[in-house]
Amino acid sequence: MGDTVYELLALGLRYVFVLLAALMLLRVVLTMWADKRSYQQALRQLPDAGLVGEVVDLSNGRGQPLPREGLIGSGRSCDIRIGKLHRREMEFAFRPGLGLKLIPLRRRHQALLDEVPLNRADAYALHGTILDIRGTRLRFRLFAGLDLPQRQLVHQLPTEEGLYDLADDALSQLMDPGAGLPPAIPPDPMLEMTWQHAPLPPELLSPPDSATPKSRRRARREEEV
Amino acid sequence: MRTRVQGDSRRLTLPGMLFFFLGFLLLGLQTPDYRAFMLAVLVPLAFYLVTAALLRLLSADRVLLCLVNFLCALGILALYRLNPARGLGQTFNYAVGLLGMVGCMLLVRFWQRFRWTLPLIALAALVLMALPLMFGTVKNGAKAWVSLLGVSFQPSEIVKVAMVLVMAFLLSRRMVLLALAFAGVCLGLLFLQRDLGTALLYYAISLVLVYVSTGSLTFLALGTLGAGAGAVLGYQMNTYVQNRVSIWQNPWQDPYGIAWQVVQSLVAMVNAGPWGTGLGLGNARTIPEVETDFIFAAVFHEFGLVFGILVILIYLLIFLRGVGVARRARTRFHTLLALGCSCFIALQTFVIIGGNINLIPLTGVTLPFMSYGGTSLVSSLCIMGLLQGVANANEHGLEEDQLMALMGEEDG
Repeated sequence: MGDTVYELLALGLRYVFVLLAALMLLRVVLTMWADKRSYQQALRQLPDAGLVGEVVDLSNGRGQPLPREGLIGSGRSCDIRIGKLHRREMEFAFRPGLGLKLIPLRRRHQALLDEVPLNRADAYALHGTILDIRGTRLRFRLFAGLDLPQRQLVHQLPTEEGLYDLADDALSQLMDPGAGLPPAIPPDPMLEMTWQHAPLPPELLSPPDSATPKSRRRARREEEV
Repeated sequence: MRTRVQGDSRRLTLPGMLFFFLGFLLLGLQTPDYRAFMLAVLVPLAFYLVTAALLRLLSADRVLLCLVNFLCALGILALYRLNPARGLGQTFNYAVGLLGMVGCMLLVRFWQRFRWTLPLIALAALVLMALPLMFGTVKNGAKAWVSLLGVSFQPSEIVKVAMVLVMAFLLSRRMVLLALAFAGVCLGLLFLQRDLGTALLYYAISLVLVYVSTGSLTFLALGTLGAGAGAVLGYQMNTYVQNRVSIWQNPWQDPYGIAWQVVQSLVAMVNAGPWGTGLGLGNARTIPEVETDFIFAAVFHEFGLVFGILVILIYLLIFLRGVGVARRARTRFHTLLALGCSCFIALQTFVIIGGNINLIPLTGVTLPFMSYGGTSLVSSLCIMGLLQGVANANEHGLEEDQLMALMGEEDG
């Protein structure tokens, strides 16, 4: 191709290149705009998006939305702000299938999860769990629909086979008191202490005071009705 | 859904496909070269197929994907125009980078055991960073390159990806001191290599991430003061830095000596006018380091001011989209990761384009996605993969929420 023809072609195509790049950018901007609108629409339909429930301060009944992960404390950057606590008291993160993992950041501040000292690595809060930190009682209320195990209160409930064993033991005790019993063991003070920290929770004595929290959308719809 | 994805990818990529078809066709007509005609078919096809395939198979963010692919293909076109061998080499780098991008995307989306892998990644990053001090070769005043088994690479470019990952993870766990220690060691090693441009990027990203993570104005103020003190100290200690600053203040004081690069870049851009000299008609090869640091000046020279502004807008849109991804993220780790990735790309672009147009002193960093260089392109695409992974996780999270709402209503 001759130089002049090429020159003419290249000079003419300069405008085409700019036009095509501008067209692509325009389409990108329009797509971004459409994405933004559809995201906002989705959020309007799902006001609880990103949340897993709420935390209620039992001293004043005030609830705060509970995100998937964050920090409990009195600091400005905390997701759950409770005035009486330390600036950064505890971390939490929702783990599907397990519950809300709680990680104390202040080892010296004794926290109780359903009356059990919170010092294990696998401490998970479930719906209705009560957390005591420095005199503040917080109740976790997790949304229905989350992948959560059944709440096992304080102790592992005996299985069906375990119940049969217990019944057998009780029956043999009645038939022959004293037989088959192990020799008396002096009471372990640590064991007693642990037991004192874990009395029967109120949920077992009375039915739960509230059901699973409804989503805000559902609550609003009910209000409207 | 599938029809929508197909439609979207076609609608977004069609102008770009036409752009690269015409561009390579024009270059092929200039000096009849079968490779240019081949690229005229292959590059638009790859542009469409990569965008459509990643959209369909991995639900990647279509806007980010389209913009990044456009910039990569523009880099290949500009490099082919300057040096056909470099252009062809860049297509290979692009293919490797795409694999890296997909890998990083899957890592963020599916890998859950960062607690155990991140210390290893951090350790590997520090070892890589220390390599140039032992086996490095000096290039452009910085001892930042390593040749291993015949392959030459810049470890600080690879460590960029690890750095964003590690900093985001540590800060998401509120291990601020550990994060600062990691960033400090990286910066120290970069200073020893005299790679000040990359050190500037690392410092700025660390500062942004620490500020976003802690919300502490004290950190920000201390960091800014530290940057100021470091700049003054660097200026006093390095004649290299003094030269760069004096070039920035007045490039015409020594146009044939130390300011040759910047002056040539400015002249090329001024000669371009609003519409450029025309593809294949410019003489951007007179600019030193035109394939790496000054690729923007070369594109500006042949495509013009209007197109140059459009390129800057593309980078701006990538940054805005990245910040949007960070805002929608479900976890702190994802938020910090997305923000770190977006800021890395944006800051690097600002630093090098600012240096090209003499807005700030010139530093030797590459223009993301466009400059020639395997390490640079692969690391930039990996960073984009991390961002895509977070975007993908956000989509998945929203779907989970919708499902949860449905199940909640059924339970209620």
